[in-house]
Amino acid sequence: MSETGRILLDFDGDRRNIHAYEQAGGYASLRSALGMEAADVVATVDTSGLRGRGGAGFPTGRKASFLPKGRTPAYLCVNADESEPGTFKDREIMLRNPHALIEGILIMSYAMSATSAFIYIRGEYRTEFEVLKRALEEAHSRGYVGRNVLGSGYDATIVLHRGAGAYICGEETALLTSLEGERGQPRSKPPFPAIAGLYAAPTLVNNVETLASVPFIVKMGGEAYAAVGTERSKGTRVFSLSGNVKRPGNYELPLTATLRDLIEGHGGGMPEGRTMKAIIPGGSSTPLLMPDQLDTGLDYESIAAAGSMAGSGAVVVIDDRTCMVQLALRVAEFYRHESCGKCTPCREGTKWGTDVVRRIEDGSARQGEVDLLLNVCDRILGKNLCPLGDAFAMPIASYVTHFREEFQRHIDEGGCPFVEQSPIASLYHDVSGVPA
Amino acid sequence: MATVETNTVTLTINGREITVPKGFSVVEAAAEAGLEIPVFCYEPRLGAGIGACRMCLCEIEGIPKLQTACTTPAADGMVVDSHSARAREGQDAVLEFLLLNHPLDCPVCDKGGECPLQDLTFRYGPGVTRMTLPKRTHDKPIPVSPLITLDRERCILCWRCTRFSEEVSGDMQLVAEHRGANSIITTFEGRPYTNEFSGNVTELCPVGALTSSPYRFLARPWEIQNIPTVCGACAIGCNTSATIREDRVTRVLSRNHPEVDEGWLCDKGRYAFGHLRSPERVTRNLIRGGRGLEAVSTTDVLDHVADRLRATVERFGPGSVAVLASGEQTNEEAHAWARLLDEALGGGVGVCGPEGGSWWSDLEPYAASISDLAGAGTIVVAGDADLGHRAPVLELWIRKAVGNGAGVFTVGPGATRLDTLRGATHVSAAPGTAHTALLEAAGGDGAPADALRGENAVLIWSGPMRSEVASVLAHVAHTSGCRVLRTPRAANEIGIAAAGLGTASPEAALELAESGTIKALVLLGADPVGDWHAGERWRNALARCFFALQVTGFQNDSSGWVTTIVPESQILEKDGTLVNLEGRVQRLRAAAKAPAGVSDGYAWAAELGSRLGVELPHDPPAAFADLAERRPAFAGLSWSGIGERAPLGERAPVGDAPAAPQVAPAAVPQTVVVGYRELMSGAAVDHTEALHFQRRRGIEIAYADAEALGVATGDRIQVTHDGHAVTGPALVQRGLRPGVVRLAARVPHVGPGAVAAVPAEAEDA
Amino acid sequence: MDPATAETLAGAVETRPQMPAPLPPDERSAPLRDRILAAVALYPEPRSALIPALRLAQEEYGWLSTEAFEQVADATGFTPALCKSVASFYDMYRLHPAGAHEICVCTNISCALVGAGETLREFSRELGIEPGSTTADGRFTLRTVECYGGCGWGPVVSVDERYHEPFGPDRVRPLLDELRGQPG
Ligand SMILES: Cc1cc2nc3c(=O)[nH]c(=O)nc-3n(C[C@H](O)[C@H](O)[C@H](O)COP(=O)(O)O)c2cc1C
Ligand code: SF4
Ligand code: FES
Repeated sequence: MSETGRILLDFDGDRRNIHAYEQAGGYASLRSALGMEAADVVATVDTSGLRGRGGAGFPTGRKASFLPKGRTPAYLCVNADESEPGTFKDREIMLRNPHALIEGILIMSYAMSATSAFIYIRGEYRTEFEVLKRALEEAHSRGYVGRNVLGSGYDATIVLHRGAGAYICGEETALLTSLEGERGQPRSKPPFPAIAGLYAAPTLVNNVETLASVPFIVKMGGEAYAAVGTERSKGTRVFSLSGNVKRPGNYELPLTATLRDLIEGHGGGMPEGRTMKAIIPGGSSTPLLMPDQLDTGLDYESIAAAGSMAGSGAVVVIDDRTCMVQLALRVAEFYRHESCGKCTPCREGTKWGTDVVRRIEDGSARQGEVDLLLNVCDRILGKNLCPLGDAFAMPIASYVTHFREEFQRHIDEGGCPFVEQSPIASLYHDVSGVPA
Repeated sequence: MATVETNTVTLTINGREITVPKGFSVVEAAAEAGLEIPVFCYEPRLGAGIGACRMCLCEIEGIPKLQTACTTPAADGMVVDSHSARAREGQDAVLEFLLLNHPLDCPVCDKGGECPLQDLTFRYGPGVTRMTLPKRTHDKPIPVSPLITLDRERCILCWRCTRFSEEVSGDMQLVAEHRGANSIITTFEGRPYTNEFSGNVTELCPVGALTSSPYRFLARPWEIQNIPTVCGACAIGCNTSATIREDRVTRVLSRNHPEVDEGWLCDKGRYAFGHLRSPERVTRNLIRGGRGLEAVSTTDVLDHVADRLRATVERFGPGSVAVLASGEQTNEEAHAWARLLDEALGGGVGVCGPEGGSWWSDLEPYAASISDLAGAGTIVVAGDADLGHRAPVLELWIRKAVGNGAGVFTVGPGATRLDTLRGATHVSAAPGTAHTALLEAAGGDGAPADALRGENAVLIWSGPMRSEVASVLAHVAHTSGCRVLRTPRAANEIGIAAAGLGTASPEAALELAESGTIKALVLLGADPVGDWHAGERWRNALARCFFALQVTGFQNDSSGWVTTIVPESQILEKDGTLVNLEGRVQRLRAAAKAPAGVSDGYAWAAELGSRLGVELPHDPPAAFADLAERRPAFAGLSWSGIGERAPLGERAPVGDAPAAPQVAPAAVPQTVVVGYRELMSGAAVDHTEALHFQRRRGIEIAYADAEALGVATGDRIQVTHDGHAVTGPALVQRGLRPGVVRLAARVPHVGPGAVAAVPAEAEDA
Repeated sequence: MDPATAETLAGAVETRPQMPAPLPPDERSAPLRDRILAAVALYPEPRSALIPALRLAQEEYGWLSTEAFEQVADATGFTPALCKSVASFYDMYRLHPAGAHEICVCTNISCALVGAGETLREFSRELGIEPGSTTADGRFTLRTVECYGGCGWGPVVSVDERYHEPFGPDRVRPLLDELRGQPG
């Protein structure tokens, strides 16, 4: 690691061009991996302690070791569906360092003896798709992708597959159903994708950032990578910082950094004249943290201990003008809109819950509906086929618990008390003529 | 034994210790022990659970979150509680969510009283709804076809119907659109759901969302009676329950015989009961006199028929009577007629159906059972027509087998639904030559030969049966060791032959009639003029007969040429037994009362017997005992032993090698026209208006031929064949062999012909 | 725009990766059916090509009309019902005709916190239509969308599937002028 503290994005500008990437030492890791036993490559990743950067944080090496040995076909699916609100890191990796992703895919494919790899990229990422497409063509022409990679005898196929607009397809089993040409609805686990995934074959699903980290791990060695970060959260992570902060953007930090380092150090703190009201620490599905928790570490364990989740590494800063009911409504509407509809609690619960938040926001709710809302969240929680229902219930419940009096005031005052100042108000009210 | 132990698991559910085979889910394990875990989306007929509705949430020791019992594999030592406070809370929450938008219109819902949602709400549900917002509303009940009504407000999105359409029948017509709470069940842009298995979704739907249109508002559960019987629409013999209200059939449901139908029913079997009360039904005895047909009493017609038959034998000698059965008669009826011919009429000829002959009996030593398909390594389907038209439910068995890894070979002109199954191999053969191609393939050393010789191979013939074809099937079965699943055309062809009536071929009978040896023809449900080969010759033969009797449900093309017409009771009105295509003897139970004037077929034959001096047993049970005594095929069987889910008898031993088949090489003309008998045909369908939309309209034409003619699907084309011309919309088929034109026809045929585009103006004129 | 928002946006520009020049549009000369069959060939199972095939059909017809679904069904061997079932699950397929230009404004939390609502209102005012509708002349469709993955550089707007970020209300007028000046 250089003095920037970065591994994955340790350069300015971009390395979209394959020559630039090669000059910086790119594809050397692939070469060395091809010279290793496949199992040793998995072991290196395991040693590094790398954990999934897609949201669940599962150890990557361990997941790869679950695949039954020698069963063919087997597939690697790259989760480039990045849709959790607040998250925009995979996009930056694909735009600035696409070959690191491709190299990571190739190493992992080789390590798991994959028949082919599929990159499932969200449909909206058109430019990113084009960058990857061009990068793949370059990699192909240089012999990194295709038959007999670098004379190793290993054949690598990578298919770039565009999604069509559905957040749920980021959930790994929904990603697989979608890739199979169906409505992107999740499948019940077990069986896990490692046993019966794409086309019922053993399948590994990994996030873009996870895979893009692999070449660096092979280069540095597992131990060196593991030396960065905390006891259980190793390496660096790209954090997406957005919301009401001076310098939003993606920042790659070692997992020893804290929220304060990210928000105040790199992000420059709050815009002039504002104070912080709350923080979303890991994407919109995670419960809120409060300003007094700024010293919480960004590693998986510290955020969990503080009462939330590291999720996708998306940190959203909320300033004092914001109406938390409106913010809750925006989050609720999002998950209601994205619920795939397959299972009952999520399909019906997100609709009911959203309707209740909307009534509270517009002032038409009756007394007691704040508790009803909490109860609806509770009835959704933990009963769903996939975590999307919880992704609705957990944050909404946390908005209510932290800002209960704001919810109550909406009911008592028959509408939003913050219309004039809330930056979100214009989505729900004609701010000039308040209220719409 | 160690092996036994590894194949079972023992777990505890609600305090009960249960041992089940490995691979069972917790729901299945509970069901095995008679414990109920509430479910909506889980339905054993659709395969493994999908965990969608979440109704089956249970607490499992050691797992922090509630788990769905339908997707959790039972494991050794597992401790499951579906009654704990947390499990109850989960089930209650799910029910509350399901009822949020449900209209709760049980008093006016057809499902009321037999509705899982109603039942489970009662047992597991919340007391009150806290939903104060308006419920989701949809357009009023909409027809998804003339047979099925969809009420979206009642739908709980359990996905049973769409899984059926996509995975079981594979038609992919009934689908979900949109996402989340906006999801709806629909067909494409309001087009009718045309798949011959469509009615099954009304049984699968656990609420009153998909209901049978003919049954709407007809009856409430407490006013009805369900009679267990079997279907007579084809030779599979699906087990059914006929719902009766005031002596009438109001609906037909599946009665799940796991070795026969696995709980599925085709729409013909489910809905064709409509013909029973058709105003066109023959309900009077008619004798042709000087002023045309005159109605007479049952006694008079019996006297008249006995007199004419006796007179025929007196004047023209023994053996001058032929009985042509349609194949829908019971074993007991066939037995009665066989005894009449033998004992009162000095012998005679029995023919069963237009493909009649001994072919199916000849294949007996190689006969496969339907459930052999489940374990088949390979299934070979050969013939010119879609199997779905001949034995529909077999197609569902084959689909399932393929899902479990069976290989499929299809031999024929192509464009059948089986050709496109995943992993199916199609061997193209010109129409009329599928058996030759099969013989060649089986004798060679290619993949089909290996497949036929492989483990548990089943061979199915899908098309009209002829002696040449039968000899090929026997030969292939004998030499490669595969089994043949027989597909006779009508419900009881195998039984009728076994009961002693009808192993003569129609052609032989026709020649005897033309030569004057046969002077009396008795048509039991049969319409040789309209439905059989050489219809015109049959017409002449009937016209020249001394006596011609037709026992029929409806007047048809033969009716004008007979001297006497007697109303025939229909299968749903009969007591007796049928033998299905695998040789299983099954019980029919009279569900409906025949309309006034219609005598029971067996009773009528017995009456006739007493007039002719043959004492026939007085009722079907006694007749069956008599049959078991006299006919080897029924030896050892008893009426009461058949039960509601009939077992299959022992397999006949494989005998000596059959004679080598003689196949004449056929010249293949440039354009071959194939006419096939479609499933939705026959008198019962003709007289059930609601089924007519299920007929496949259109003339199938190969892609290259359509291009050459410049026609696309939907354009009018004209096919000429054997002096007939048929005009209809083209259905361009990419999988169809070039040069082949295929269309539905009353009488199946294969022969040279021509096809031409019909200019639009010509049509207008 | 209020100064604080402007400041936020300035910060965003700094860290934003540079966007490459777009690739030329895909080869469109081959008939739709052939393009679909080429997509089918990429996958172990033909059904996987359904989503790409629907996209190809949408590019061909502008939206997924009855005919478009029938074409996809014919080329892939599935039914139009299945094709529409799949298409209607995803947000990017158009089940109704859309305007010549499709403008999508991200209104998810990060964009909303930095003023997406104002951008949206400005579009609405300038075009004289509510979000979710198309101008009477058929030139513009205005839609709100969920998180576009440009949160640090919001508000994010896409025009004909190309991102423009950050897109404050002051950029609405110039953009529309430019689009109105184009033929089409
Ligand atoms: C509702 C939902 C949405 C998700 N969206 C994404 C996503 O957009 N990108 C992603 O990489 N992982 C996403 N995940 C996590 C994936 O299911 C999966 O854990 C991840 O792709 C595994 O890769 P990793 O181990 O490299 O993190 C999502 C999970 C859920 C439940
Ligand atoms: S219509 Fe019936 S079977 Fe189909 S999803 Fe709705 S409730 Fe289930
Ligand atoms: S029955 Fe188990 S989830 Fe529906």
